[in-house]
Amino acid sequence: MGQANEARLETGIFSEEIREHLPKNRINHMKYLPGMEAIKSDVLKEVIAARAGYDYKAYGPKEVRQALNKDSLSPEDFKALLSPAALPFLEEMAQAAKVRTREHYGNSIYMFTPLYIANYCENYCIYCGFNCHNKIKRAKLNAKEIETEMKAIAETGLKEILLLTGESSKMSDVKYIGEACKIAREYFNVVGLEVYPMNSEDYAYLQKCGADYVTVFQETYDSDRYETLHLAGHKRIFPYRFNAQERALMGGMRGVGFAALLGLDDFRKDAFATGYHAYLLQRKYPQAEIALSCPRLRPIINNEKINPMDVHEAQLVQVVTAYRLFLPYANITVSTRECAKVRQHLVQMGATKISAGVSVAIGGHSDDSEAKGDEQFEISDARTVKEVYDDLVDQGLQPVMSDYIYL
Amino acid sequence: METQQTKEDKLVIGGQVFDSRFILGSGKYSLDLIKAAISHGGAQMITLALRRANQGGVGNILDFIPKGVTLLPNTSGARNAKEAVRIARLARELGCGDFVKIEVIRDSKYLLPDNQETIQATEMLAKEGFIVMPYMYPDLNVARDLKNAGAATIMPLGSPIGSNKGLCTKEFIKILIDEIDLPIIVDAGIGRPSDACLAMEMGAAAVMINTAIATARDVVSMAAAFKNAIIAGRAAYLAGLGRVIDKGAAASSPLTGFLQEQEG
Ligand code: SF4
Repeated sequence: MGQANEARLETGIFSEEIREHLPKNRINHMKYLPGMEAIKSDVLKEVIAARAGYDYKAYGPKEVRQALNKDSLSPEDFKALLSPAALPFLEEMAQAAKVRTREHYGNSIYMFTPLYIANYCENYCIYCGFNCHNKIKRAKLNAKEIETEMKAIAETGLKEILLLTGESSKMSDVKYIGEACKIAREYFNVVGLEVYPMNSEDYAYLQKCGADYVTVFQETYDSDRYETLHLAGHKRIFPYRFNAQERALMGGMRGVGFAALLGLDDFRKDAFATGYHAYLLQRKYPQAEIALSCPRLRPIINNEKINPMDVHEAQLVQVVTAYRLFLPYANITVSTRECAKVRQHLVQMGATKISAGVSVAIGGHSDDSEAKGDEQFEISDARTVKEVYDDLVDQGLQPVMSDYIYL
Repeated sequence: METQQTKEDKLVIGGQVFDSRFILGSGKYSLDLIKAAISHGGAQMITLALRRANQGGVGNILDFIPKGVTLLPNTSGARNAKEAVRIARLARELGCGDFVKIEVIRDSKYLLPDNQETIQATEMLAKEGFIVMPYMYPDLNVARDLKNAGAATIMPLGSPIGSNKGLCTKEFIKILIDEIDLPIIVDAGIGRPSDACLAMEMGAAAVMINTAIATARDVVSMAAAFKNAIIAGRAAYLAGLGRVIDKGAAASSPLTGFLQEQEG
């Protein structure tokens, strides 16, 4: 850990308890652990170099205007739109993003819901309530409970589900996730996964079980910063996580999702790296469908120092619209971490995917199952599926439940 | 504005007769769009993306489609011929009829069709008795192969899907119209009624429109505008454009007529 990092630790989001853990011996976060598949890929090097070279103070109104006048934006244009110089252009960015979104997606907004099937986690991400040092209620749904939950979700009319586990390959092994995918396939048209990164053969297996979309949040693309936030567990290995989307595509997944947790580090640089990562992978795998999420930090259990205030709504709008203009073909998801008001605005200017009827606890969708495990974070938009559906229609948008046939 | 000429002028695809040459595409849909396309645009054929058909769920596009309108299920979502064939079979099982529009796309950025795989899918589905309408990048050799493979129409793209850029591929579509004895239906890219009119003047058999109407401020009026543009373009085609416009300068009376006069 360099000096700069030591200095950073003095400020920011570290609670007393975490400070105690910090100095202990931590493994090299850039070195693969046994069993981790290493693929040949230059994408990581390119993204890291481009992120490091991104000096957003170097962009002015001229570059922003140039970017706004283009049909097809270069990574340089993307940098300009993410720079502070673009803030006075937010309205223009939003208008342009809206046009671009309608060209590609019409009025369609896809709806889905996440289902947490387990919350065991072996990682120590200091900003997350599920981390292995937090004494929370842990649980894991069995096949019958998963089916009960899914049935209840399917009854709301949803056809797309996102399965989440905490990141514990011991408690939620690939086989367990595969069984959940098979059940999900019975009830849903689209099955997405947000689980721990795995090898391409595991992704291939899960694809056969019915999953077709893999999302992995890189959290931050600054590997030094990453190291100070992810103190233990497999997740600590930065490059293995970074290459997860590529391994998923090699395993035959149809699409992959990306995200930086905005607010963990310099959000402009992380947003740039996220978009550029997606851009490079789509160039390398032209058939791949691309999705981006824009989570901001939320308060969690046992660390009151974490709050999302660093990235304000204006900055969030800047990120969403810059993503849209740079990657007009990508799906952009807004999670229930955001409140209904913010989400309703974002679906008018660039977001194309929205979750609804969310419970981030383990179990809790069906009436007769009481939540078995604690929640990962607080949700801000508690609207039901029907409420979200009706609100979209009122906004002149077309809710879409299904956009895929599993073949 | 029906003239004697247009009255008898029908579009025939796979033995089915259509009065309208306006086909609604599937990229963007909403109940309002479908209603407007039928009642104000006169569409008799509506594309259905099977991947959007939400069987038994809310917002099922199938519930939006009125009786008497021909469904054209498409294979969007297919990345190769095999997947296209499977989607087409699923559509048939769901009771969507024998029409199928083949879309094979393995490029998530521009959504350009894969001509090679499209030929294969056309061949397989035509053998199974489907009325196959392949979406393709306008290439004469591919169009010939598609015809030989059993296609019922050829659907070249005007410009990339959703781009509203008009007929970027105009010259190549014209070649298809001249050379291929099948209805040529221009699909994708038509951004304004004048584009649709131009395609029809050139001799396209029909046009497929979606984004241009879906994203208009007034969907109903735009549907009507397209209807009129298509009728006007078709009428102009049937009337025979003046040769000056169609083939470059050509005099209206012969310049060498005097030679005959001398001989006679
Ligand atoms: S962010 Fe994910 S990996 Fe990290 S502690 Fe939370 S659940 Fe575990």
